[in-house]
Amino acid sequence: MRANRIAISSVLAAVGVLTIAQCAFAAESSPVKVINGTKVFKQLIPQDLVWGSASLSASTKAIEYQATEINSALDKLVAKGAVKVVKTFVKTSTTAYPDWKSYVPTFTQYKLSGLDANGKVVATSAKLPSDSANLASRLVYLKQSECAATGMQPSSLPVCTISNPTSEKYLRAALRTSLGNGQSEDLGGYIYQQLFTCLKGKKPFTVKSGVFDCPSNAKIFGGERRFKLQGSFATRSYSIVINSSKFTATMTYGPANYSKLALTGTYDSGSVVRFG
Amino acid sequence: MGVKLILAAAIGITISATGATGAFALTNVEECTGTASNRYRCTAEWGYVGEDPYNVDRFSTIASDGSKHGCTSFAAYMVARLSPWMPAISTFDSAQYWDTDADTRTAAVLSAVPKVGDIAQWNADSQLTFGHVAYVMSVEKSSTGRVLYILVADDNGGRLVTTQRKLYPGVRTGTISWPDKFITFPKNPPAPGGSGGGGGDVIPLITPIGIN
Repeated sequence: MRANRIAISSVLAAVGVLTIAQCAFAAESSPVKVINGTKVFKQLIPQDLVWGSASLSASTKAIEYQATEINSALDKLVAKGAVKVVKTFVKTSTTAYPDWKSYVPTFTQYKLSGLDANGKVVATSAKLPSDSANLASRLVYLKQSECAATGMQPSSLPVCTISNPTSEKYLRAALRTSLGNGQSEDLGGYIYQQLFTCLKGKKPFTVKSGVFDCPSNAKIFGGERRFKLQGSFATRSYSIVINSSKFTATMTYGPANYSKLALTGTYDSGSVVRFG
Repeated sequence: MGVKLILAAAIGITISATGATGAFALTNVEECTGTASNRYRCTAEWGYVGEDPYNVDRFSTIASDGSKHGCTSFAAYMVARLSPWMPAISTFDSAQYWDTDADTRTAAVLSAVPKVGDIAQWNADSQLTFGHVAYVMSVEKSSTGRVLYILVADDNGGRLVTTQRKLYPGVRTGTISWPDKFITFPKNPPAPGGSGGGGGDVIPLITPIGIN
């Protein structure tokens, strides 16, 4: 039995070595070195961006939409006979926005409950803001934790009011949302895969006038075989240096450039401002 | 007997590892690529043209011709076709978080083994800035049940075209590597007398919002 255990251990150890070797081989074998390849939105979006008129107009529409959404919820509470509005926060995942504190005062969604004169809940709203995937939507919210809405019986409660963020603040959070949701997805990965596939296979390629051309890639990448060795995506530039004799390359990303994107905001629907 | 099984399993792993090296000549290939004049060519069979019932396309990229493109929008579209209505899908974050969102906000199951109808998911890295998701069209297996390759369909916010890609386990060359996870959402029950699957076209167009 002991001998069996040793034999098994030996085999498993051998497998382990093979596996580790395989992983090590995989990790070290890439012919393409990437510099500054980390996710762009790990950097904070600057607070001093100049937003174009289109972006500013888009933010106004988005903020108006959100105010209407809250007012609509309040109107429904009034219609149900509520005399008091109570705001209750609900658990909200921050997974997608670990950096939310840099953009909005609170990330948690809330519900509005309407209470009648006896303190009984007569209606409760859906979660607000409704678009939890949109970071910017957190900037428009009911200010009070308890209040009386317009149309409710006069009381000692403060009147319900809705926050009105500046367009600049709203757009900054909207741009963060855009980056996080891939609207400004760059093609760095696609270019990397073409480069990796060509160089790894030691396939014939040419570099002419700053364009990399690997004919064998065409049948793998849906006809694509060429790309520029220097260029710009929506948020950052890139440059590639090829070592033809060694079939290796270094792909370097430039720093994030948000200035151009800041001018491209457009209103879509709901609380979403698009960029790019 | 138990020892034999363990040894066989261990040797199997060894062969599999060697096989992966031997299979390095394989390359992940695009079997279909949309064009500037027909960007949705590779998703036409399901009727996807850039919008989904969950409104995930609100985050899609818009091409110069006005067409919308986003991997999560197409994934949401396919989930809407095949699964019961799940309002949480509307609140899902970018592709890199679809596994977590699906696991915590729906009854979906995560797996390392692909099944037809799954949503394949890639985490973010230096190549996939925001991760990626795609629909698993088919899974090809050997006679012993080992997965040989999968065929996935997707939309691409960066490239602004739809594609279909054949992906091999462990292969890094070619269009994109093997997914990190596979998400199995609950499926609609088969239609009575029908062949099952692929149904579920009757779906609400907007997420209900309002007073409960």
